[in-house]
Amino acid sequence: MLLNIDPKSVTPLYEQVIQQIKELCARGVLSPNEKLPSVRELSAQMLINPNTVSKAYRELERQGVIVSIHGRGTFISEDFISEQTPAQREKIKNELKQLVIDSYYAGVQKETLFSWLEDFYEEIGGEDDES
Amino acid sequence: MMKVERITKVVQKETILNDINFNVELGHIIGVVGRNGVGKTTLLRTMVGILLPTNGDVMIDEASIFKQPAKKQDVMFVPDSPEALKQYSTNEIVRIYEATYHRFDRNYFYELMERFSLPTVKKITHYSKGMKALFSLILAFSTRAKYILLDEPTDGLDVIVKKQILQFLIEEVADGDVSIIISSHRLDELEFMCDEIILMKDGSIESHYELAEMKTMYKKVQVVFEKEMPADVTKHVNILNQTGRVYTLIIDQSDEEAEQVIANHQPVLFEELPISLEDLFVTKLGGDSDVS
Amino acid sequence: MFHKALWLWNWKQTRIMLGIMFVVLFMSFPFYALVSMEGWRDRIERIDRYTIADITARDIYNVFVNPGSGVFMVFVLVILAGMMIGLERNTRKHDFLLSWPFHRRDIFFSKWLMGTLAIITFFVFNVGLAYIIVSNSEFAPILNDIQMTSDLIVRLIGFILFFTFALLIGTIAGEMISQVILTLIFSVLPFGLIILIDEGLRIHTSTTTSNLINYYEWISYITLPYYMVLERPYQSDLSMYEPFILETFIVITGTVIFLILGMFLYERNKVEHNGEFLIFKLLQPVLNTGIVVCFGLLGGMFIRSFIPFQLSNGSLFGIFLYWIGFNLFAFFAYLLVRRLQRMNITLKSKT
Repeated sequence: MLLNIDPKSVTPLYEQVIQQIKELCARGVLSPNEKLPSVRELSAQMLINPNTVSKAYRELERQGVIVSIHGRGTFISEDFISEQTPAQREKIKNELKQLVIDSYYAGVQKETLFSWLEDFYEEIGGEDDES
Repeated sequence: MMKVERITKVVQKETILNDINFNVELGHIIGVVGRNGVGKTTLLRTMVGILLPTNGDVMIDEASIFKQPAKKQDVMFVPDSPEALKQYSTNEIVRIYEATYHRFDRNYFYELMERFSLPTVKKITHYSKGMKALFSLILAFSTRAKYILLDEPTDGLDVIVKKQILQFLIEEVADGDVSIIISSHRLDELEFMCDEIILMKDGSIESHYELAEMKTMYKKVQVVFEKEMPADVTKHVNILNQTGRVYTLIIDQSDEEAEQVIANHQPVLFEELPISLEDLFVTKLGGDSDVS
Repeated sequence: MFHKALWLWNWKQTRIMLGIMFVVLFMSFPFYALVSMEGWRDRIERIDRYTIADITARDIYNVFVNPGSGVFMVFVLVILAGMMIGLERNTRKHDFLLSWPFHRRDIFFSKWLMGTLAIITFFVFNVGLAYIIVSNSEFAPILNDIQMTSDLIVRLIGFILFFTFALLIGTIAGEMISQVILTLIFSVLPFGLIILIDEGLRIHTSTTTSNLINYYEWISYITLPYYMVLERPYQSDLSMYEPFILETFIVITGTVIFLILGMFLYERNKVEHNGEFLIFKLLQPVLNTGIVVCFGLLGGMFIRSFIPFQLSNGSLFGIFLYWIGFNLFAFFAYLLVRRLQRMNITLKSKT
């Protein structure tokens, strides 16, 4: 498994790891019940701090995206999408709001944003009405 | 926990280290970053008792390493080359380390030697530079010391060995109860490895960040004003770079007014840029980006 | 206090020098005994059969107690101590050693103990071997007449004293060469200084005899190599001669003081000055002054020696020459001192 970490991104590293894994799940690259690399393997492979990876894993587990089974390793959970909490939805909403504000100041049109949204959903194979 | 308590080192009336104060938690990687000659090596050598501090102390589990040197069972200093042992054979070194460090793990040592395909030799001068660097690390981790101090561990090594070494370090920390304090003038390597970064300038700690919070503390923006940059803005920001009317700025997020002041002047362009550790390095430590 | 690791370390560091020490002592005792006996036999054969009495107790005594081994041992011991401390300072070995989980005083003590045990073992072994060789020869009857145990004991503890002193100097000298030079200078300083001062005084007065001659004996006792080279006019009836107690007392006291002081100073070792002339910078002005003055005294004596002193003691010309020499040498010593103050000999790796 290879994650694309952007060193220059403003997004904190552990959030990038979370996002990337979620994205890989959403795109079907990682399928339910698939075994993830251990914290040790992933951090060594990507040369990032193991505590960062384990923080990301903890967060992913809390969100229900992955489950770790003691002694066996970490796996993608079977139904990660449905287990989102209201707080997460609120967070996504806020982030989107921030993004819209930034877009507005950057001169990105509302229509353009919509078309991007559609493109992204197409990319990950989701459904339009899941917002 | 290892505590560096207000270390000051004065040599010939010159202050080399000034009131250095920080803690090392188990399982953490701490990067000590600064330009050459800023006291990084002096700091590491003091932390293992080679140098005696003029003031201050180094504590391991609440005991001073200077008063109770036996505490140094838990600290290993890995200099940039294993020159002290150059006349020794691999087996002699194992013998002497076993005699020195109670927890030296001979099996683990040979396991690692095999993993990195290091042959046993009659004199370790027969190793290449990269092999010497790897060998020093293998030795250090085989002592099962809790705190490993590394002085420029990848300096002058080729990319492949460098990657091997960094991976090895990360695995060691991921595996268990070991902390690494690593000095470097190479930020790009350390940036994502470390839990904390200690930025040194003129023998003092200029800044001390936790990796996770570092990027949220500062913001890098590109700004263009109608005319020159207004004077009241200058007070709130660090100018990283100026090309014509285009300014690249670092804004301290704790300064709540900063962005407001900029907005008041209605910039033609205000754009947030990705920030790297190097940007902070340059802002904090001054000078150009040539940190080596 | 007795860490196995330090033994392994010290052994590896010094085994060549320990080997040399063994060889030197072997040459000085068993080998010298064999060679001497050959010589005696030669002597007897050349004269005639019944002059065995020609070989006296004095000859045998000289096999065991002679200044030769002492002179060699001065160099062996100073280099041994230099390798134990000074050489480590020149390389990164010192750093490495101090990072170990041991008290610094234990590190110093382990070096002292290793050297001291080697001195005792090698000395006893080689003297014993020489004794066995002689006692199994036709000269054995004479051997029984000799009392030399006390002289040999003084010599043995004299070696230990000098070695301890050389280690002590290692704690204040910044590297090996300065440790060796300072040890040699300081160890003969009491005697050397009195000669220089004595000469100086003589030139300014019209006397031809020494003013300080009465102090010579006393000064010998605090000049360390004295114990390594002393030789007495042999008296067969004197089993326990008088100075033995005093000498043993001085040597043992000196050894203990130097050892404790060395452990104390090594504990406060300022590694940042490794490779420089001195570790403790407070001593620098004292040493500088000392060097300049001593060189001045030496220079005065040297220049002044070009004219016969019987003619000129107390003469203005003699005094004038003396002071020219003094100032000239002092000036050069001053230049030397400035150079020493800036020096730094640290061997870096080639890679």
